[in-house]
Amino acid sequence: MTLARARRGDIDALEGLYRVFSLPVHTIATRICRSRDEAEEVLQETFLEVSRSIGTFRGEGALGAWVRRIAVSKALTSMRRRRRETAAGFSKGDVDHLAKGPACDGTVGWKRIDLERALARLPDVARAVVWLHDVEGFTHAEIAGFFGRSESFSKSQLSRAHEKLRSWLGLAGGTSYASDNGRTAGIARR
Amino acid sequence: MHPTTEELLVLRDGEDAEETARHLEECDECRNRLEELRAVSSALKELAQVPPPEDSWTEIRKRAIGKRRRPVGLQVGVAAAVLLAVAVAAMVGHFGGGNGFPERAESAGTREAIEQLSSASRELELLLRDSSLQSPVLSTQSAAMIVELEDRIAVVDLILAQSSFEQDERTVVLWSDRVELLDALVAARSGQIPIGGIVHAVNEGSQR
Repeated sequence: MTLARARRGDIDALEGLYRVFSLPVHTIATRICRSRDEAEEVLQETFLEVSRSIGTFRGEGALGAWVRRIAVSKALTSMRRRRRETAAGFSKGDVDHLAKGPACDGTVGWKRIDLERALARLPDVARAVVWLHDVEGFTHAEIAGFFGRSESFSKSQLSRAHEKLRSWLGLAGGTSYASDNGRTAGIARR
Repeated sequence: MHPTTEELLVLRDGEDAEETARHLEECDECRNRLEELRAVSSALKELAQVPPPEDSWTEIRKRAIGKRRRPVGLQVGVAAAVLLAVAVAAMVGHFGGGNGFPERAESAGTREAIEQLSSASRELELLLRDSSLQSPVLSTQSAAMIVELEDRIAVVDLILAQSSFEQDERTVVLWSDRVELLDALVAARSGQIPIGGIVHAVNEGSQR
């Protein structure tokens, strides 16, 4: 049993877990981080943490969900550190590493590369929230927990992210529906 | 009045949004917006997963093995350092309220403190698995103390398990207890501190 062996500190069992979970972990890291190097560091930190903590995994819920939560936590920690360093002028980080992949047609009227680019242009927090909520399926309560903020914060970030994506993908049609303290009509009114 | 994007997202996510739903029955424009939100979400899900670099595992393996071989002496100060950092954070009001503890259950300081303490716990647990700490204990007094410490750690774990979703100041205290007890256990097994120090840790834990 890989899990039992991993709990005993068996490095080959840890490799087994890496083979199963490295793809989703690296995807989360890549979507939240600003550079390939940062994403790879998050990947490594995640599996080192798995190695250290597997003995405390109580088996409540899926192992994959537990590993993904560690990955999110590591990626957000890295994001915060980068933001502090950037603010202090120590590091600028690469940009748009997500938008350098090959273009291929999407199915919704814009090209997938456009969506990649739009996603990469989002501010860090908004990008992390939209990815964690819409793709990874975390609830607003869970995302609020990751950021140490309220659910309203998560909902507001998600909304901002979608507003920007709509605009950059040419969907907004010049109409803004930005919220101002809760309920607001769009600029366009019926 | 059109719903905001946030309100449309609430509806998209299947939460209760009766008023928004009613509006959409009469508004083609907002129905289209909702469809676009769904389409963007679907397209995001279809973006390719990103495989890790081929040599990543080699590096992780190297680092994982390296950590396990770290000498015992370098690790024993971990708990003290973390506990000091947490205490200082509390003293400077990092936890929020004027009494050093948050009025609300969660705060960034509390979460950070818990993260530091749980990380220290893991380091100490790893240390306890070190073969040099697995040898039989010669002193009867030490053996009894080790059993006592292990029992107390089990009790703390039980309480933590029952409050696994709470991240409040009580959880910080529990994690602090856990780190202190684990630290005392490491010390007892390695014979690095006098038994009096361990007794103090046990008594401190029992008074909480």
